[in-house]
Amino acid sequence: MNLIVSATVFGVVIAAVLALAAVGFTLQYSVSNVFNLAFSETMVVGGFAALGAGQAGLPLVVAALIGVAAGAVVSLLLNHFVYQPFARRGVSVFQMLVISLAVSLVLANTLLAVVGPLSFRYDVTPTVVFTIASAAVTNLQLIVIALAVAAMLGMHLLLKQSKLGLAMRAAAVDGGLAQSCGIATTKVVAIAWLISGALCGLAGVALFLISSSFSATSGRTFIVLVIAAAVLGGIGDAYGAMLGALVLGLTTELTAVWLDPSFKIAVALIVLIGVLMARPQGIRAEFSAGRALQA
Amino acid sequence: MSADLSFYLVTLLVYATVAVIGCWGLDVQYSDTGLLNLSYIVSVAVGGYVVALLSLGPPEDETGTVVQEYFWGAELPFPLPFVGAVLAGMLISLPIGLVALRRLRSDYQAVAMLSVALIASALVVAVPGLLGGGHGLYLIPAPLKEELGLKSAEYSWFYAGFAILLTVLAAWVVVRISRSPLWRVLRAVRENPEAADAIGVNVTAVRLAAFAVGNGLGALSGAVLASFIGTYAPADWSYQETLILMGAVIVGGAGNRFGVMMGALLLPVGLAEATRYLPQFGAPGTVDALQFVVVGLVIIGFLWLRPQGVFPERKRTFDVDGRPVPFWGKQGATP
Amino acid sequence: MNDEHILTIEGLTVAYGKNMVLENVSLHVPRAKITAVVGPNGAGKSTLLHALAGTASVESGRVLHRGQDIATLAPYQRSRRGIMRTFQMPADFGRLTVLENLLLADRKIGGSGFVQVFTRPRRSWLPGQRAAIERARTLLAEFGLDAKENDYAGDLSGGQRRILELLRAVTTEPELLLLDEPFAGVHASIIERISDFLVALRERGISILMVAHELDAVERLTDAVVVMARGQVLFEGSMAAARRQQEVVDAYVAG
Repeated sequence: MNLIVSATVFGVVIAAVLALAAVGFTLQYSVSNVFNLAFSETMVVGGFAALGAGQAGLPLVVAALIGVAAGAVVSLLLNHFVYQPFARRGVSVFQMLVISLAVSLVLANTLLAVVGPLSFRYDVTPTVVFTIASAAVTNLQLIVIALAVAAMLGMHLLLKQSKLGLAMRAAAVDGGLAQSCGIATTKVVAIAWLISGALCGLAGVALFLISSSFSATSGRTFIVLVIAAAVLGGIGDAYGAMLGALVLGLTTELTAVWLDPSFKIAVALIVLIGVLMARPQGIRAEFSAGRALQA
Repeated sequence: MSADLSFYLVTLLVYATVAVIGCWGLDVQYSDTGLLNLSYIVSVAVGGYVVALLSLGPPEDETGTVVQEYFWGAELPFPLPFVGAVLAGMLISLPIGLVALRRLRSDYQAVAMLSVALIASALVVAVPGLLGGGHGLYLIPAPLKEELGLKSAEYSWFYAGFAILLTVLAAWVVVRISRSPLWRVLRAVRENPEAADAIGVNVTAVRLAAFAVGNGLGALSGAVLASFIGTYAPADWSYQETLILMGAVIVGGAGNRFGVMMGALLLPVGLAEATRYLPQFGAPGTVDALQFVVVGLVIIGFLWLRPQGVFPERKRTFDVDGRPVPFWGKQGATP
Repeated sequence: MNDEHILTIEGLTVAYGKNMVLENVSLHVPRAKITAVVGPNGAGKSTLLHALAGTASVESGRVLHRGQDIATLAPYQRSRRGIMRTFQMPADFGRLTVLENLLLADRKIGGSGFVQVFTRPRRSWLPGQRAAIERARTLLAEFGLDAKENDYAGDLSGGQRRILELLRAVTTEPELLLLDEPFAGVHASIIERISDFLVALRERGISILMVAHELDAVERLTDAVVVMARGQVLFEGSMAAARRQQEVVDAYVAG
């Protein structure tokens, strides 16, 4: 029983991280129609930027913000210098995928070359805030959950209530039409990548906060979890991504109670394949058809 | 020739054949039929493991103690382990194909394939009793070494010759496809599956078949590698490797068998050799990591500057009598 | 089995969700004649063609060809039975040459299957290929496309690609051609050539069913016409009779 409770707790925590990542990933897909397979590597870059800042003596919150900024900057540069030019050229879906894989390769290995193969951890010690049925819940975990909730609320407000959000949704549905309506599509897309990049950086920092240790290769398989959460929720649907993250987080952690923990990734992947085969439009079926940034 | 130089050359040759055969398999899948198989490395892994399983024999020795951890083994005479490896590679096409080759959108297809590669890797590492886990399999017997009774140096040249023979065989397979009416069918499936369907082509069957042939070649390359090195472990087949092969195909010239061969010699082999002579700087593994960075940048660079590769695919034309114009002939000559 | 009709359609119903796009459609497609399916937008003409070609799933009904119900067959299976369709937007294989596009359709060359390619020597398909190239070149010359035989199909103009698609369908030696708006967006001179070609095909015994938007454009071409509106068949018969029926005129005015 204890195991199940603690697995559920950790499932919610990891779902928080996944939600941040999946929403960011979905946002990028919605505005640029590209599966940014380098997303998880960008998360890791953000996480390491925060580490570097922390080691340089900056306080935790500032370091975290630097991590977020790093994610935002890298994502923006990626779109501006790689994805957008190629999209304007007109490359096939496959070539775009190969490109994003190549980018992930470059990012991952540059980071590896710079920081080396060692394991690191943030200079924070978690303190137990309370326990549920003898499953401990730490302050760091609560912070991550709070961050995720705050970010989700922010996204909701942005998408639904602000002019920018409306512009983003319009650009996502039909860029050409949006442009002729006077919406500066390029600027909107750039902002979308900035915001999603910030979410990406935040997800990276959050992931490392709740991990006992991490290294430059931590992001390698995480991308599939992100995609799984996004697809599960119906790719292009931000709320679906949140739901998908929750389902996936809980599923992987709970199955780890009975199966060997090293199967976690396999479970996530099997869920992904299952969804792709059975219901490619995701669990929020009404909002299928890829591109629209539904809210 | 000194023993070191001899060994170095043999190693280079064998690695080259492994890269070339592997890249040709990918070429059939990607350039001919339009399948982006991000799980290609799994077929290579299957080849490596199966050739080991079919030559090692059972995991326990005569006294019943477990020598290595794997789920089953047989000690088959040469060349059966290789035949088995190729067949196994073709067979895994069925489950993977059923999962990923149905009417999914291309990007979902690719993600599904990538997931397969990652699942395979995760499973093998997580279940040591299956295929030796993270350590992999070792002491893989070299084919015919005992029977021929050659010394190490001589044997290694024999093996190089064997690997080259297999490359010639692979060349025959892919060039045959390239010069046959079948190639048009594959290309049609790539260009416009709907129109191909309307013309009488069973698109799913064609895709599965091309997938299987490509995977068979991948398995062959894995088998050649594993039998040569004598060990095989997950570190030898990370999903990043698929991207290196992909890079070789793109750089060399997708759809051009000669180009792909050159790409294979340049990228996987050439890069590894070039970095061999660089002094190891930074933390261990930095130089290897930088290799991948170079590969990634090269891929992006080529896709931007010269997506058709160094040796572009040639247009197929026919002379006045309806005979195909060979690749050295003048192209596009109007009859 | 009626030899006069190449296809007999009984009670065909196609629905997209709750939307009845085709409702209980029954008609006959006469053999060796040119039949036009006309009607206003949304009448279900294209859907009918898709259902016959195999690219729309059918709720209920039968499509009889040579006595067999083909309503559940995949497009490639129907193609192999001699039922060929063309697409509304030119559908060609862009990175194959014009000549290769035609060779692809020729059923008389060997070496198109994996097993064949590896078990038979090259000389087993080279003569067949040579003969097919002859036939293809003759066909291309008739339409002035012979000079373009080595151009990639994707580099041709729209009208040329449409002709190529038609030639490709014809190369399979079909029994029945299903043409989806063959004249849409096509230059007047090309319409003329295609019309002549279709008449020539009919003389050779090939049955043609085409979806067309305007009665006038296809009038001189067609022997029989099917008028549809709102997913149902309003009229089936000769052109002259169609003109006389008030219903038909109304459908066009209202639809």
